[in-house]
Amino acid sequence: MKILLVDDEREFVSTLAERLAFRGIDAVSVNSGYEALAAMESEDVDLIVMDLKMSGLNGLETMRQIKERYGDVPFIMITGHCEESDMLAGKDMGAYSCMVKPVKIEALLETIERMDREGKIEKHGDD
Amino acid sequence: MEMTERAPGGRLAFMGRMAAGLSHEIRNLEAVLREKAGLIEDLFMMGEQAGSADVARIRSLTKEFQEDLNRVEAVTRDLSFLAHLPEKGSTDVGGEDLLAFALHRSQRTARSRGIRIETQVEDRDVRLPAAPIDALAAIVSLLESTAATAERESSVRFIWQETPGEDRMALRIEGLSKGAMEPAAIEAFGPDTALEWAPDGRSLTLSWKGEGAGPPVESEE
Repeated sequence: MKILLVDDEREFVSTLAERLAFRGIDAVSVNSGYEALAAMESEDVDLIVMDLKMSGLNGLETMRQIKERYGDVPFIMITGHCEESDMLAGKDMGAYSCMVKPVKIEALLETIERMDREGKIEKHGDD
Repeated sequence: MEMTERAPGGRLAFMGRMAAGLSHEIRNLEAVLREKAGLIEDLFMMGEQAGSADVARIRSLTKEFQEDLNRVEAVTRDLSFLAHLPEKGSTDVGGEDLLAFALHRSQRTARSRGIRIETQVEDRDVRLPAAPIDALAAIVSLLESTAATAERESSVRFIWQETPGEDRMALRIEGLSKGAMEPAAIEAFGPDTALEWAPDGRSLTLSWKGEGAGPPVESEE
């Protein structure tokens, strides 16, 4: 499974990617909506973990553009303050869940496993 | 010369927006520190299983902690600066302090677009042109607009200078392109402010008119 981690807090996503790698999950981290769009061109992404509030392209606008180009890609939204309006906007865009920073890696892994069990994740690398 | 005046934004709304941005940054830093602490735990656990830990990586992470804590300190300083600003009069705060705060707030956007922002204070003895909180709101708004709309990979310089013929400051911004900076993106400069483009369209001056420095504290609306 390949996860695309998108957050403009560079060290947060790079460290999270490193920790996921220790747990056997291939994660690519990028730091802007534009970089996420570029990564979608070059990587077979199965799941996106997307920060909502980013400078430049925000998380929801990035997801809108990804959906437009690549169809429905499952995603988890993360944010510093998960306000109700954010949650509703995320749900409208198809977010599976909204997680509040700091994200516990165990909670993230549980969510990913649940999505997998429910058949929400289509793994490109699997034959 | 073309003059563009902007509607005022409320002080309370400005304080709230800045506080929200700062708390967002604190949350981000907390997330970074927790991930790194978790990574160190992971490295120790793997080290126990393998018989030796990746000491070099752990050492580099502990160094990074110091840098992250410096960021925490800077954000906390900004938060404290903001919290006490409404109490301050125009002679209590320097223009460079306002510029430094505004620069921190717009740096992430600027960096993401490859924009380099420099600041300069030509004369530290010239008084602020408005109550510090109002001056800060205008400067932050202008820096944010600049970071979001200036040409990518460009260099922009913010210079505090004396208003010609007057004993108060104006802010000149060099390195802009009038065509690239949408007027609609520039807003909330307060009732006594004006924006003036230079004839060549490469610099913009934010100045204050009227009585200048107002009372330091006023109730909202």
